Amino acid sequence: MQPIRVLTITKNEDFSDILTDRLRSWGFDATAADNSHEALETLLVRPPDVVVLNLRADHDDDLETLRLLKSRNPDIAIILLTCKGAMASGIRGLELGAFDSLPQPVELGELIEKIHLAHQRLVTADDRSAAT
Amino acid sequence: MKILLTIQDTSIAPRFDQATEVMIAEHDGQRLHGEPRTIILPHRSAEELSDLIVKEGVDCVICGGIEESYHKFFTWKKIRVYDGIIGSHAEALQRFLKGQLLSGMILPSAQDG
Repeated sequence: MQPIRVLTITKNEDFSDILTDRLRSWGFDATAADNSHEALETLLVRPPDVVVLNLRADHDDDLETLRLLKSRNPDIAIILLTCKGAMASGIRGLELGAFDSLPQPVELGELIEKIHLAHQRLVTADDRSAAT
Repeated sequence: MKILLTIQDTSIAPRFDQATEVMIAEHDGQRLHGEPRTIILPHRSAEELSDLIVKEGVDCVICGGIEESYHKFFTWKKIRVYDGIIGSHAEALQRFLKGQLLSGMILPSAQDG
């Protein structure tokens, strides 16, 4: 079975390094993007199953990244990590089609569970469309 | 009871204010209850980490170097601090549960790396 491909978009090098490293140690095929441009490139070259997007307070460009990713691939599962003060952005993100959101600081076990759930939903949707 | 260890890879993070990851475990003083949780911090911030420690209801912290003001704050909050620990977080936790951990300890696992 292929490992689940996860793309992390955090705009925070430290956090990005630790997050991708931990996800890899749990068997995910994790890569990181620093911005929406890199994320879109990855989407074309190495499409992820699940995206983990860090939402910062007062940074509309993070939501713009979500919009862009969804416009390129409406089926992509996006999990939002909401920083302190970014709850409103998190709600907006869910309205824009994100799979779910988790508050920061993020608990690794919870995130892994969400990634599996998001992936499971994709697989189920694929099976359904193949059956019809 | 809850214990928090500041971690960096498999070791205790050398500095409290530079920690980007923590492990929280529940215990009864001798053994763990359930699996420890790992939390990835969005920033290197002693203040945010202190907030997390208080909010989580942690009563013991195992860390590397820590600023005196934070040490005092935790003491005031009746949170026990084992600071200046060098070595693997797994060994630190085991020693703590056996009542064999002391502040400033250089654990045998520190020699391995």
